[in-house]
Amino acid sequence: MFLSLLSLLVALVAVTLPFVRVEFTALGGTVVASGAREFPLIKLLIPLLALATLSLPFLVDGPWVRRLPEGLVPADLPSVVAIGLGAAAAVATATLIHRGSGVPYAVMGAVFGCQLARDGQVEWVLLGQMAGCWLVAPLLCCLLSALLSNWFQRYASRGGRHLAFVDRRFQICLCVAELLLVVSVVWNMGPVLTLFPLAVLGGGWVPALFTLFVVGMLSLVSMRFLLSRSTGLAESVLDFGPAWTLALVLSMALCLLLSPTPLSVGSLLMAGLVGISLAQQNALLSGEDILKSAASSLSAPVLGLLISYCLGMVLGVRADTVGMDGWNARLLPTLILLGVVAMALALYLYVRAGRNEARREQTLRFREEQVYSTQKALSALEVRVETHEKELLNKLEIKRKELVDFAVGVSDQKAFMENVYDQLSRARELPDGPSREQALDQVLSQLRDRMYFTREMNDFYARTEVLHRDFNMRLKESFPHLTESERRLANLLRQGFSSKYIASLMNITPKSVEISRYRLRTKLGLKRSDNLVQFIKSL
Amino acid sequence: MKLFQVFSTTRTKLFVESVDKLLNTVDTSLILFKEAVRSYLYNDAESFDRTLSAMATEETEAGVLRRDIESMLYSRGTLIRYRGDIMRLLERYDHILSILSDDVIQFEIESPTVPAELRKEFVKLAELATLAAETTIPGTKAYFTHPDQVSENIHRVYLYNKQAVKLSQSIKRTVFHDMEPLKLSEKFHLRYFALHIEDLSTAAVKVAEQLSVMSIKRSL
Repeated sequence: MFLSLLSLLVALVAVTLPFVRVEFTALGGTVVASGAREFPLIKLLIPLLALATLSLPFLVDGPWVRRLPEGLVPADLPSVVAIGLGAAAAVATATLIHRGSGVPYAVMGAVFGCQLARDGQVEWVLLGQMAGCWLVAPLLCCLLSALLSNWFQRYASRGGRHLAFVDRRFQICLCVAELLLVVSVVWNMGPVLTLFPLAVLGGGWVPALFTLFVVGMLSLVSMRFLLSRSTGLAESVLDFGPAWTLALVLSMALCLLLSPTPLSVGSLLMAGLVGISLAQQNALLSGEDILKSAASSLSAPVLGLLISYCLGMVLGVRADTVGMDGWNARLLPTLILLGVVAMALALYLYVRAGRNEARREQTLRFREEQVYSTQKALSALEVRVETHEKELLNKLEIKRKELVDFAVGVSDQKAFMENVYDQLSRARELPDGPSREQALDQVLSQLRDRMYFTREMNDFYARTEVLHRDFNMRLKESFPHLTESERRLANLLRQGFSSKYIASLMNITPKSVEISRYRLRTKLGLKRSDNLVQFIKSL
Repeated sequence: MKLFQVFSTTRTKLFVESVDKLLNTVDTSLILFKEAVRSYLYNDAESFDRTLSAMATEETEAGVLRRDIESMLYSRGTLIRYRGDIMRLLERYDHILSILSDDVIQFEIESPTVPAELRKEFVKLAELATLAAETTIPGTKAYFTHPDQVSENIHRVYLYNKQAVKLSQSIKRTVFHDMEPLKLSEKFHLRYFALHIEDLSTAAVKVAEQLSVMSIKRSL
C-alpha cells in the first residue's frame, strides 16, 4: 500500500510539476498583462474556479466531463511511473530549446510511448488526431488573435468615447476573459490527472484523501506561479495595450475550450502573438523565438514517446503483466531505473550548481569591477579637486600678496618721494657750499639705491619661491650644496629668462651670468653635452 | 463594496470629471495670468492683486485635484496601462501652473521697470506663451477621446512656441541694443522676465511632446 502510494505520488509530481512550472507560468503572464491581479475579487476567483474545474473529473461523472480515451489510461503503477518520468525528462530536455515548451504534448507522447512498450503497438488514429489537433490549434489561435486584435483595436481607436471608459470596458472584459482562460486551461489539462489509477490505492477513504491532498498541494504551488510577480515567458513579450491582450486571452481560451486534446499554453501564447504581429504589422517576437518554440513543441512529444518507451521496456511493462501492481516482480529493473534516475538527477543538480556558482562568481566579479572602477574614478576626481583647490589657493595667496605688496609699495614710494622732496627743499634753502653739495649727494645716493630695487627683487624671489615651491624643495633636497644666488639663478633659468634679462634682474653683467651658469653646471654635475635649462626643467 | 468594484464605472466617471476639472483650472489660471501681466504693465495694482489671489486659489485647487487623480489611478485600478503617462502629463501641467504663479509673484516682489514702448511686446509675449499652453488643453482632451486629433493640436503648440521665442528674442534685442538710457541691471531684469514668460511656452512644448509620445503609445 505504502509503495503504491509512494510510486503514485512520484509519478504525479513528475507530471504536474512541469505543468505548474512551465504552463502555469505562461498563464500567469497573461494574468499580469490583463491587469486582473489588481482586483481582489479576481484574485479570489482564479484559485476557486481553477480548483473547482480541477476537481470536476474526480467528483462527478457525465458526458461533459473530459477524460482521456480508455485505451490510453494505464492500469498499473509501473506504467504511470514510466509516463511520469518520461514526460518530466522530455520537458526538461525540450525546455533547453525554449522555456515555453509543450508539457501536455510531452505527457501525451509519454502515454503513447508507454502504450507502445505495453502493447507493442500504438493507436495510430488517435495519435494522428492528437498530432493534427496540436498543429491546428496554434494556427487557429494565430488566426483568431489576428482577427480579434484587429476588431478590438478598431473599437479602441474609434473616436468619441473617453479613454477611461474604453479602458474600463476592456478591463472588465479582460477580467472575465482571464477567468475563462484559467477555467479553460484547467479544463483542457485536467484529463491528464485521469492517467493516475486511484483504484490501486484500494477502496474507502484513502483515494479521496489522496485526491484532496494532491489537489490542495497543486493549488498552493500553482498560485505561486499564477499570482507571483515573476511571469516567465509572458513577462517580456506582453507589454502592449488591453485590446491586443484581450484578443490574445480570448483566442487562447477559445482554442483550449474547443480542443479535444490537452494543449500547451506556451505554444498558444506564441501563436497568438504571431497572429497579433501579423495583423498589426508590428513584430512582437523574433523569428528565432518562434522557431525555437516550434522546435521545442515538436520535440517534446517525440522525446516523451521515446523516453517513456525505453522506461517501459526497462520496467518490463507488458500486456501480460498489466494488473500486477506489485513491484516485487520487477525489483531488478526498478532498482536499475531508480539508480539511473538518481544518477541523472545528481548529475543535473551538480551541473546546475556549478553553473549557478559560475554565474554568481561572474556577477560578483562584475560588481567588484564596477565598484573598483567607480572608486578609481572617485579617487581621480578627489585628487583633481584637491589639486585644483591647491592651485586656486596658491593663486589666491599670490594675488593677496600682490595686493598687499602693491599697497605697501605705494605707501613706501610715497614716503620715499616725500623724503626726497623734503631733502631737496632743505638743500635748496642751504647756501651754496659744501653743506649743500653734501645734502644733494645724499639725495643722489638714496635715488641710486632705489634704482637697484633690492627690496622689489627680494619680493620677486619670494613670489617665485611660493610659485615654484615644489621645484625649490626638490632642488634643495637633490643639491644641498647650492648657494642662495645659484638657487635664484636656477629659478630664473627654469622660468625661461635670457642671460641678458637675468643680468639685469640680478644686477650683474651678462659675462658674470655666463660664469654663474658654468659654476651651476659644475655643481649640478652636468656634462658638456647636457642642456642646463632642460635639466633644471626636468627636476 | 470594494470586492466588486471591478464591474463598477462610478470611479471611472469620477476620474473623467476630475481630469476635466483640472484642465479647466489650468485654462482659468492661464487667463488669469494674462490679466495679471496686463494689469501689472498698465499699473492697475488693484486688479493685479485680485488676480494674484485668484491664481493662488486655482493653484491650490489644481493640487488637490492632481492628488485625487493620482489616488484614483494608483489605488483603484483605473487605466492601469496608461497611468504612468497620465501622471507624467499632469505633472507637466503642474509645472505650467507653478511657472504661472511664480512669474506673477516675481512681478509683485521685484516690480521690474518696463518702459512704455515695451509694454505691448510684453503683453503679446504673455499672450503667445499662454496660447501655446492653452492649445495643449484641447490636445489633452483629444488624447482621451479622439487620439487622431492630437497631432494637429501639437503642431499648433510648436508654432506658438516658435513665435513666442522670436518675440522674446526681439524684446531682448531691443532692450540691449536700442535702450541706452536703461541701466545694465534694468536690462538684465527685463531679460529675466522675458525669459520667464518664454519658459511658459517651453513648458507647453514639453506637454505637447508628452502627448505625442502618449498618442503613439495608445496606438500600440
